Amino acid sequence: MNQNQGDRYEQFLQRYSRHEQRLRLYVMALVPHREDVDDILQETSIALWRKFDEYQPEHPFLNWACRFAHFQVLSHQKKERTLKKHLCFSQTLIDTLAREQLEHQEMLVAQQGALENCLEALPAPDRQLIEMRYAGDVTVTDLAQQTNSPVKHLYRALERIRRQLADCVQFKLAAEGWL
Amino acid sequence: MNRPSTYDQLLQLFSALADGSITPEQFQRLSDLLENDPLARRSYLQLTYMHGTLPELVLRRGEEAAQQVVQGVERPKETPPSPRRRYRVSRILVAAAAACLLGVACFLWLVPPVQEARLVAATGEVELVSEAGTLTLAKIGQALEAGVILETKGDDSSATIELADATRLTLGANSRVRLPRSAATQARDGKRITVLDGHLHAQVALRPNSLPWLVETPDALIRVPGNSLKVFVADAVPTRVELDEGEAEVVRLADQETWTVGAGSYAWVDSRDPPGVHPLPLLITEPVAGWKSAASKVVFAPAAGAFLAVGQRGGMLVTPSNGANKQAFRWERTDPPFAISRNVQVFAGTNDRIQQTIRHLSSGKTIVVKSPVEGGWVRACALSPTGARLVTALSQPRPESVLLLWDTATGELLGRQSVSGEAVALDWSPDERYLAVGVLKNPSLLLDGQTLATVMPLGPRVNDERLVLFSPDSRRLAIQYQKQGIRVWQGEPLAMARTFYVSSGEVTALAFSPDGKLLAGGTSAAEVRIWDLETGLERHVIRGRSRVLDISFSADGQLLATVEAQSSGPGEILVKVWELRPR
Repeated sequence: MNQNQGDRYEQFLQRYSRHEQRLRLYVMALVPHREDVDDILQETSIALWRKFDEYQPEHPFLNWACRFAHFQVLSHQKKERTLKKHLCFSQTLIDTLAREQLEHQEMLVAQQGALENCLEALPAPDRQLIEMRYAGDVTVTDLAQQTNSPVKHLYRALERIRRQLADCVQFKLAAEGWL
Repeated sequence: MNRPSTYDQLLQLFSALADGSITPEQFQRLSDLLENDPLARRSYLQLTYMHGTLPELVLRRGEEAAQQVVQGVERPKETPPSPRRRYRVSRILVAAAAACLLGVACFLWLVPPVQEARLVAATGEVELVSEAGTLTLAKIGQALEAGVILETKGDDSSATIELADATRLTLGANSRVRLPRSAATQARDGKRITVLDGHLHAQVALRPNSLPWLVETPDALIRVPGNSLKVFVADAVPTRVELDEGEAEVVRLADQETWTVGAGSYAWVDSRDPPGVHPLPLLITEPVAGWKSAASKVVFAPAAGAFLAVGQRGGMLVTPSNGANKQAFRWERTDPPFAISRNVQVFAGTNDRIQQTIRHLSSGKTIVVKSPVEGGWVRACALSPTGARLVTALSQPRPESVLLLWDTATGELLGRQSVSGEAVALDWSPDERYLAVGVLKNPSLLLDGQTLATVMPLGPRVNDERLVLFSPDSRRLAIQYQKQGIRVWQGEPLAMARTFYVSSGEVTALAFSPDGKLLAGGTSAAEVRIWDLETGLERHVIRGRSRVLDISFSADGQLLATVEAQSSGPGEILVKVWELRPR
């Protein structure tokens, strides 16, 4: 890699790093299996770098990157369907979710700010459970061992807390005029 | 609240999906719900984004809580404005603009809009928010109306505006300023620029008869009679004013206290008592190394009384006292990762991704060692303080790394150790008791410096830690984390003590002062920030022109050398030596 390429790569990395989390969320909504998300992001980043010379800086990088991610999702899911390894959404649904994500982009970003406050407002035991679940991305089975609780009980508790969080976020978004 | 009638079922299915307990039948039901109902899809997207954002939020909360437990209350984190804050600010602006609309309309009816400024240069995304709240992308050459808000977006963004009186304003990355309002308003209020966020560099035109410039920030009002001024504004951090020439009068809004900042000095506008005006670090030499390199290292060589910069093609000695520099070494191309022993006797580089070249700088002896691990490539290396041993971290296709320990005198392989995740940074403590390993996708590690056995993981979470560095007294360990942070561990056993943040770019280099009291962090945004480890306060900010590759203090701690990659020039390495004047 020569110096120009090196600088170009730095520019690419800066842009990619800045949008990586949003891109991850985009892919997560299209692909139900967590391990697939990481693989697709890896493939997407390589594809983006290969095509970076065609990127026009006056256009939003995220939207450009999402198009690649969408394509990678479809290609990945095609392989998955053949292998029947993981559950997959239909191509029609993937296309629809991909389009609607970009349409709702601003609302979904605004939601992240609301979520921070809602997490703060949870009762302490609920917040602690969420922190344990999401801190190291531990499985519910591991969590059950750590907390000495039945697995089913934890599934129910997490569903209940997610509902609380979702209600709180919904309320805040509505108050801010998003819904 | 505009939810699908099947929301309960959707939430139950989503929860099963998120927790990995979903059955094929449940998955089919979820797919059917989503395919048939737009409201269900919107709720599903909201739930997915919530699920995907929680790890980051929880991690951030955990870090803050840990800091408070270990350190008590400390300086808040510098972060770019959150989406929520941006949203709120934009709403407030829109509301304010709407409230003023009638007045503005009347005003504009009396006084036609004046085109006060022109955008003359820009990189990255530059947006304009009109007084009515309309958002547009700015183009070079575009005339900018009075009162407009100009915003640069992205770590590599900037914008230069020329005003009607030839004053040039340069906006740094992720910055926002409001331009002076119309000529009629100026006559009443002066030419007032409001810095809302980020970095403004004003080259003010010297026109004795013109109105004075006023730069407004959340903390201060700065009166600029005519000179070059730099203003830095960030969330939760006091305004910083720097002057290369002339002087400016600064009024602290909180108590109207006023002081003067002169040429070659800077001031924080905060509650420190008395308000401090301090000399800027002084650039004393700036030679260009005679080689191109994507990476380079710099260390202070006490025996030579000079800084030694090394890169792919050789090494150069830079003597700060007289600015002299000379080629110290020339060698066949060696690629990063590089390592230099703390006693500046041994240098290690990499060839063909699998070989390490060890050069004994005083004797000129060279030894090449080759990885015996099939399919592995060198990601990081470190030399023991005396240069007697080299440790190499090899990445492999599978998610673990192999550490190889070499004798640098004989090239003999002394040992090997596997670590989980991708090891990308290594540093030996000066007392050789420990080896710190920065790891991607797994917690970083503290290993025994002799046996490479794991002593402890450095934190329970994954932080993509790409830089690790022990202090000269081996009591502290600095680790880059989450791109913009530097976490300092200290004590026996090591515990997390304090976290420092840079405001733009990501951390690319670390250095401790020889007395261990200062920590310096270089960034991809061409800055070096230097903090006092005892008080947590920022002591200096040095601004260069491009990405900082490495930094090093001199033996007396009075000088700091930086290595920059020249992005706009011929691609050579720029070594700068700065005098850190006492504060």
